[in-house]
Amino acid sequence: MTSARQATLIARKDLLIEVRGRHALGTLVPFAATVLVAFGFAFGPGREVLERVAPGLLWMAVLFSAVMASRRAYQTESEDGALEGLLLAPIDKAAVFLGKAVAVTVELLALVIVVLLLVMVLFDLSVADPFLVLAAFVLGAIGLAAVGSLFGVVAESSRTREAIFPMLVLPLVAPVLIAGVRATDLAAAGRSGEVWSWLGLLAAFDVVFLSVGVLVFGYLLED
Amino acid sequence: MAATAERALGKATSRSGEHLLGIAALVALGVSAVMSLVVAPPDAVQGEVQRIMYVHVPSAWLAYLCFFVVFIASIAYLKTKKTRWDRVAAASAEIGVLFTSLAIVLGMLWGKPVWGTWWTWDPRLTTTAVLLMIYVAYLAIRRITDNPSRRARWAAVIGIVGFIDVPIVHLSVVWWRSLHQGPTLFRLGPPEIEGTMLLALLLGVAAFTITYAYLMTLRLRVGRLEERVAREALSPLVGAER
Amino acid sequence: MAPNAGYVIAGYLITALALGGYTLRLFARAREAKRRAQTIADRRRDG
Repeated sequence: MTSARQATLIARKDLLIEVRGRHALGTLVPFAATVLVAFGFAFGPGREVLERVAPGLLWMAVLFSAVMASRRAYQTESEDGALEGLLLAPIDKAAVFLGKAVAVTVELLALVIVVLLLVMVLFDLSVADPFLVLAAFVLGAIGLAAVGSLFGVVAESSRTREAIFPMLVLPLVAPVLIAGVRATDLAAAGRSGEVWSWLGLLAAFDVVFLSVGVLVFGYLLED
Repeated sequence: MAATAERALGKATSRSGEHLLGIAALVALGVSAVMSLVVAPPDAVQGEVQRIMYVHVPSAWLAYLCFFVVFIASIAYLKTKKTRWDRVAAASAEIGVLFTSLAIVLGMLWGKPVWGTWWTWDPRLTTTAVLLMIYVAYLAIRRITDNPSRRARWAAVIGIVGFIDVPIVHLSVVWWRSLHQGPTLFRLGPPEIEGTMLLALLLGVAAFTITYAYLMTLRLRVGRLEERVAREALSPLVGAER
Repeated sequence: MAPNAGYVIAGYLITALALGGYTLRLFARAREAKRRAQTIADRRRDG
């Protein structure tokens, strides 16, 4: 079985668990919505301020959700002791990483759709170029999922490590936050020409972290 | 008998080597301080404040050198699984956090009189701050992971991934910052570096590098000692004479 | 004294304290580790 097939299987498994139990989305969407409403209280009620910071708030909500989603990606396995099973199975470790990353990306994108609509309503965000906004979120979600799925392994086995997980992930994904917000801001404003360099940065981030992740993930798993 | 003597000799020489390095560091720092505070001329525009550069810039360079060493040592550890590389990585990361924090504080002390504010999201300082956060997380993971081999492996991965991320962070911050051309923002540093100033700066870098070498030697010794304590505490051997 | 000299002095002082303080801390850790290793060895010998 090729690694690509293995990765697909793992992604499918994770997503099936998700669809059947609605674990992640059941917690992620309410969480993101709560975060956004909280931001509304913190920065509102003036529409002007909220509209200006809307892209940033949107990405912050996605970022926090990505941390949660990545942690959950490994939690279901560790709870049942299935992680050891995964370790012992003759699969390419890199395939586990890619599979998880794909699953988390899909979850995040589903979340993004919901949250984008929420923000457009709550913060009066008008989107001039929705295609570019979505492109930014797809690329950003991949990057967040890559970092999260890489270090999610570290988070699962202890409560203190769980607390350190965001501390580790947030600085690493700073470029995603910066580029994502800028791209969304520019795309929403209709300045499409300037968006492409930020999308390029996001894409580069994704390529780097997916490749490095594939190379080092095995070392995180072995025991 | 001969083996014990040989080991004792080894310990003595390396210890006196350590002391020598320490003295060299002290002397170098002293000379550098004199150069920076007395000999080098004040900057035409910034005045005396610019002298902070002679400690800020070397700190920053050393910070990045430290994490480069962590990067290399991490790769070496994953490839060879030899404890010594993990020890080097841990030592360099700890010292790196010291230099990074120092660089940031000194940058702020320089920025306040020059920019009028403590923090302007200057690209280099901001990237350095992100670097600090990554390596604080590195040390935190090390601290709470009990299994030594797991600790070493996980730390190594973070050391590698973190270092690779830094150029990307820097690029994104530079682009981000360039969107806001505020009122002429001084880049931290005189527009041109003339002879004596350059010499003072290079001496500063040299002094800090020697200091790094000394701190590494010291920290590696501490690492070996602390590893021994951990090993012996766990060792079930009874009557093992050491 | 030149204006802003305080910042320079603070900077060099902090540098000295940081480097010196860390060095002293390392010495203390080395001493502590040696003491602990000795205690374990003693306990093993006697216990």
